[in-house]
Amino acid sequence: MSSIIKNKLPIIILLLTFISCASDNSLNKISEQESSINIEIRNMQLIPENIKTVEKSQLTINIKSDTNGSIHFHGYDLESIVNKDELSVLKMNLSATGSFPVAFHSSESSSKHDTHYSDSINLSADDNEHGQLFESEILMSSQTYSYKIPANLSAQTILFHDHMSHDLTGEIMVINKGNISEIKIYFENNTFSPSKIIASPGSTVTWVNKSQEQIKIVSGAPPGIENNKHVHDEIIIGKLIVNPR
Amino acid sequence: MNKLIFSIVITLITAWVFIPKKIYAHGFGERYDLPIPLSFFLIGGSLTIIFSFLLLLVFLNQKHQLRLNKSYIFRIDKRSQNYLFLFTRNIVIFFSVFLFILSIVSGYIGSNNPIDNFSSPFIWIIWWVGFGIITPILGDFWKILNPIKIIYVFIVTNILNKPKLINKGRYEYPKSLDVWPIIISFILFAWFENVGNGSNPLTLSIIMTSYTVLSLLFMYLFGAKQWLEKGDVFSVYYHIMGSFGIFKITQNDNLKTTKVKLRFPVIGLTELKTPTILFVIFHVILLGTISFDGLSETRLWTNIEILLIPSIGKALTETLGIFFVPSLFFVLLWIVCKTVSIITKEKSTETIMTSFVFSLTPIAIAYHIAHYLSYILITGQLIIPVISDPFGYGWNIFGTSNYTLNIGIINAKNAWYSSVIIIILGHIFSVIISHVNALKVFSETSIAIKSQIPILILMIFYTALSLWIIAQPIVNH
Repeated sequence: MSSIIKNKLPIIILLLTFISCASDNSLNKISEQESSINIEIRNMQLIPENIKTVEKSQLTINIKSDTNGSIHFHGYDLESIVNKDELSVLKMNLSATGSFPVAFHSSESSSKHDTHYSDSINLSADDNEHGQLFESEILMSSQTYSYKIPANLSAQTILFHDHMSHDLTGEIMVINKGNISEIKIYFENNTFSPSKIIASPGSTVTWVNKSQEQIKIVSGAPPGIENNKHVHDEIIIGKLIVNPR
Repeated sequence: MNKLIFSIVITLITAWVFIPKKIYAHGFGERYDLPIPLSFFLIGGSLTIIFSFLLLLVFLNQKHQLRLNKSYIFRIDKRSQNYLFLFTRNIVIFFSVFLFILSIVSGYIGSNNPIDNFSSPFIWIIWWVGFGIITPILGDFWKILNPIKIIYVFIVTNILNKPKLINKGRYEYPKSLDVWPIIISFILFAWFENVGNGSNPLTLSIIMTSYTVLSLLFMYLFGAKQWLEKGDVFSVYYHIMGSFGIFKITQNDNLKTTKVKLRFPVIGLTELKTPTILFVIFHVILLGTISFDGLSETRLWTNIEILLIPSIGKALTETLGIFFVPSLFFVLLWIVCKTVSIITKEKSTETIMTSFVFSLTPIAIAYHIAHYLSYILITGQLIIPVISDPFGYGWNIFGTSNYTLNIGIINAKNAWYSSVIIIILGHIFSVIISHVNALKVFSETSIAIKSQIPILILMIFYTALSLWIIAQPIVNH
């Protein structure tokens, strides 16, 4: 008896696998349903942050936004233009399950920050352009330069580079948690150390030139680097979660 | 002097290429997995424990060593090598070399966008993930398909006219080298995969070219057979993984396939030679890096990154992860084997470690398959458009260049069922292999059974960890 169990056990389990998968497929025959949801993009944040729904349904998403731009549903690869304070409608045929990032591409310039956002501000694509946020003087050996991240800045990535040598780049990942702190980035051996930091809004980032070289810290990607722009002007604001039936 | 300048130039170029510009790992295709719900996790965990005790009960009543089914369905020998066989073999070999060369060339002359270039999807998704899933199911077909081996055999047989160089190289493989080449190359590979700029096609091609040149050199120095069995990381990796599969492939001294046997799955692991402790380290690194790949997508790891990245940077943080996880696995294995040694009073800790290390392989294989199942089915489709346009020049050779991914190819519920069942199956196979090994190592069945309790606890931990990782993708948060 034990030898039978030994020899047949994996086969029995494999059979059970197929049976469970087959029985699961029968559930997929449920007819399609329609549903709708209202979402809002406010201060570059998606409300609600997670759009939860089920597969095999038609979903109508009513989108309101306080910023001009476009909303992009990864995976489904659907994009919709949204205009400020106008209702946009996007219909989706939910054929696939999964957790799909929702990204927003802002089309507004940074000059509008001060006038539009009273509670918090967000970086647009232009903010990560050359020198838009900060630009130091030329720093000689042992000189420093500091930049205070605005206390009301939303989660996003600020790029920076050495204007004297465009290959030397770095990133400040701003996240809305953690304590306000002072973070030092050292320039030595021809590199930023660390080159990528995580900081909360309100923190101060200080670059210290520990080399004998002259450096100039400038925000944004180095001039001529267009490829990075698309990566960084896309901000993930939430998720579309499509659960199985 | 010229050599010095040449070395400096090569080092600088290599450093420039290797320094990570943007961390991708497999990340040139997004994962859309939903984490398995708590109920699946609990059911999986409970079944693991239930099956463990059921199997222990089965083994408790056993008086004789397991008789493993070794019936061979077919075998290839000289008589069976007819024209059809030779034709098929040559076609397969040709395609293997063709795809290998195409991958290298497309990295050099094609688009530098990983999605638009044949090399990245083919190497990382189809070969490393896909072939890594097929091998444990079917067997070590890498022995036949290894393009570098095929090229070497062709050169020494048809160009140099010295077929003896296949079996015997210029020198004997140094004993002091042991398995250091595979340990070092696997660590470098794991780093390149998880931390380095691995998805960049140009970088990938430079690495592949360097690897090819070095492999050909070492095959020439030590003989292809010696090098592939002892020093070549992928041959050893696929040999271990392929031992799980249903086909056993035997090659002669000239690396010609002489036998292909059909066998019961998993039992090949019991036939692997007892390795050295260095080999145990390699195997633990292998298990640890497979787990780290999943662990790096969890919230736990993100929290560690938030803590460490500001002070030491992302690359160093992930490098530490690659070293820490295997080290933790090794320490756990050592503690368990030490306990077994104390309980049984028969064998040393080292003997027990070398005897039982392959018992953990099925769980690692199961985790690898479960973790990548939806990835290979969804992201693996990236190969379809690049087949028509391998260099990203805008060609449409087979009419597939505009193909869009079918993201609904696998339902989350099916993925959950499959993942949990595959991981539990891996656990069951591990318990069986461990028991078979115990009967070989220890003098009495009762001692063998006693030895299994600490190992079983380690296996339950490893299985639970695998389940937990699959329940924790970062997308859940």
